[in-house]
Amino acid sequence: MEPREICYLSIAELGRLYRSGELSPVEATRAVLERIHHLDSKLNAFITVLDEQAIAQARQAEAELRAGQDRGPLHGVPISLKDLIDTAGIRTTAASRIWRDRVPDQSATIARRLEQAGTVLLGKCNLLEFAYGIVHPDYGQCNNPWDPERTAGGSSSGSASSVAAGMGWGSIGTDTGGSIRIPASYCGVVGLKPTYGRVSRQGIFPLSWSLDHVGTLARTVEDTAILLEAIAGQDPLDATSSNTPVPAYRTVLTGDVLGLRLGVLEQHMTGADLHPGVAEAAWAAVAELEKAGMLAKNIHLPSLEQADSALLLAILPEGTLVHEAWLRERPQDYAEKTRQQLEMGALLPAVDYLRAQQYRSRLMGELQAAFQEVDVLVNPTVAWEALKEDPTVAAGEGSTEARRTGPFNLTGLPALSLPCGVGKDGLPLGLQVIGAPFAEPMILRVAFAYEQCTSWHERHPALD
Amino acid sequence: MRGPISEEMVAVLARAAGFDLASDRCKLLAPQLDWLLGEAEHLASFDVSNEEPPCFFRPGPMPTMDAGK
Repeated sequence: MEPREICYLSIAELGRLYRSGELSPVEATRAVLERIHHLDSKLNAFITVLDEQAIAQARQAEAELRAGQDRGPLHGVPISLKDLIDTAGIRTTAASRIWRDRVPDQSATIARRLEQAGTVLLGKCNLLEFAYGIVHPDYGQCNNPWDPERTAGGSSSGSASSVAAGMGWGSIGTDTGGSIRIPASYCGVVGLKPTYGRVSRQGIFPLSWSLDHVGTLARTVEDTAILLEAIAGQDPLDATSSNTPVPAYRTVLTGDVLGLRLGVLEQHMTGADLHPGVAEAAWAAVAELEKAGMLAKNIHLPSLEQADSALLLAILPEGTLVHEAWLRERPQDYAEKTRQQLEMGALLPAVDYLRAQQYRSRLMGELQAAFQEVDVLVNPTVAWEALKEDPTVAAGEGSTEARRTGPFNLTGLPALSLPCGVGKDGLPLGLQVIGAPFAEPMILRVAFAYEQCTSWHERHPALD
Repeated sequence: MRGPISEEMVAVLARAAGFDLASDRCKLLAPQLDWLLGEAEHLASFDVSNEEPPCFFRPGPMPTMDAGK
C-alpha cells in the first residue's frame, strides 16, 4: 500500500488492517510522520511534532496488539491535539508568546483518556492565539490544504488542516463560537462540538467558560463516533462535566433515517451574507436526506437574529477575565488584535453581559420547542468558503463567520459539520447537523446516513 | 442610543476598569467599542427581561466531587 493511501484510511479501516496483520502501527506512524515532514512547511498545521515519542508509542501498541492486549478501536491510531490541551512533559503554547516555553506537569483528562485508549500522539496543532480568533505572528497562519493561500479556519486550524491533509487520523479541538465546525467546513472534514458538559474541559485553556466545548475533527462520521466515545464522560476534575451515560455511538450508524424529522433552519438558508452556491449545497443535502426517508419541514426561531450580538457580549467579558492578569502585565506579548479584543472586554457594561445570558435562556426555550417537532436541525455551517485570513471576532466579518455556529454555543447543543459540496472557488462547504441536548447519537446517525448517500468525504486535497 | 464613543470616553472607561491606556490605544479602540455597543443596543432592543439567565453556580458539594468515590 502506498504511504498516501495508508494516510487516508479511516480509523476503522486502520484497525482492521492492524488486526489482520496487513499493516502495523509503526508502519502507519512512520507513513504519517513522513507526510507531516513533507507537507507541513506548506500548511503550518503543527507547532510541535513528536517523532520519537510517536514511534515509541506505536511500537508499544504493536507489541500489545500482538500479545492480544487490545485496547479498542483507537489502539495504535496516530492523532493530534490542539496546542492548548495540556500534555505532561510536552510544550503547550496556545500559539502564544505568553506560553511559548510552558511545559505542563500533567495532562488534560482527555489527553489521558486518549493515551489509555492506546492512541499515538503525533504532535500539537497550531491554532489562533489562545483560540481567540487571531493568528499570532510568532506562529503564523495555518493554511488550508485545498488552497494554501487561504486560512484553514479558526481557531482549531491545525487540527482541521492536518486531518484533511492526511496528517493524522483525528484531532481534538475546542469550540467557543464555531472553532471546530468552521475549520471543519473550510477544510472538508467532519467536526463535532458535543453537548456542553459531554466532554471534560479540565487541563484545557479556557476562552469563555460558559461557551467553551471540546470536540473532534476527523475524516468520517464513523471516525468521529470512535473518537467521541473515547473522550466523552464525566470527569471528577471538571465541575461542568455531565454524568449522563455515554452511549455506544457507533451502534447508531446504520444508515437508516426513515421517518426521522428534519428541521431546516430557514433563517440560515437565506441572507445577504451567503456566498453563491452555499444555500444551494445545503438545500441539495436536505433533498438527499429526504430521499433517504427523512421528513423535512422549515423551522423559524423568532429570536435567532440577536444571537450574533449575544455571542459577542458573552465571549468578550469572559475572555478578558481569563486573561486579565496577563493583559495588565504583558499586553505587548499578545497579537495586536487579540490585545484589542481583550481590552474591549474590559470596557463593556456588566448589564450587557447579563442580558446576553438572559437571551440564552430565550433561545434555548425556542430550540427546545423546535426539538418537539423535529429530530435534528440543519443549516449551512458557514456562509462562505475559506477566506484568505481569519476575521477578528469582535468585528462585522468575524461575527458573520460565526452566525450559523454560535447559537449552539449559546445553547450548548451538540452540532456537527460535515462536507456537503464545493463553493464557486472549488473549496469545501459544510452542512451543520444540530441536535437536542445529549442527542449526539441522533446527529451522528443522520450525518452518517448523509455521508453514505454522497461522496464528498472521499475527496482529498491534491497536495502530493 | 449610546455613543458615539470618543477616545476620551474609552480612556475613562478603561480607567474605571483599572487600565491606563495610552491615547493611541484609546483612539484605536473607540470605533470598535462604538460598534460593539451598537451590538449591545441591538440586543437591548429585544426584551428578554422576563428570562432567567442560565445559572452556572451549583450550591452545595459540586456534583462531580462524589464521582470518583
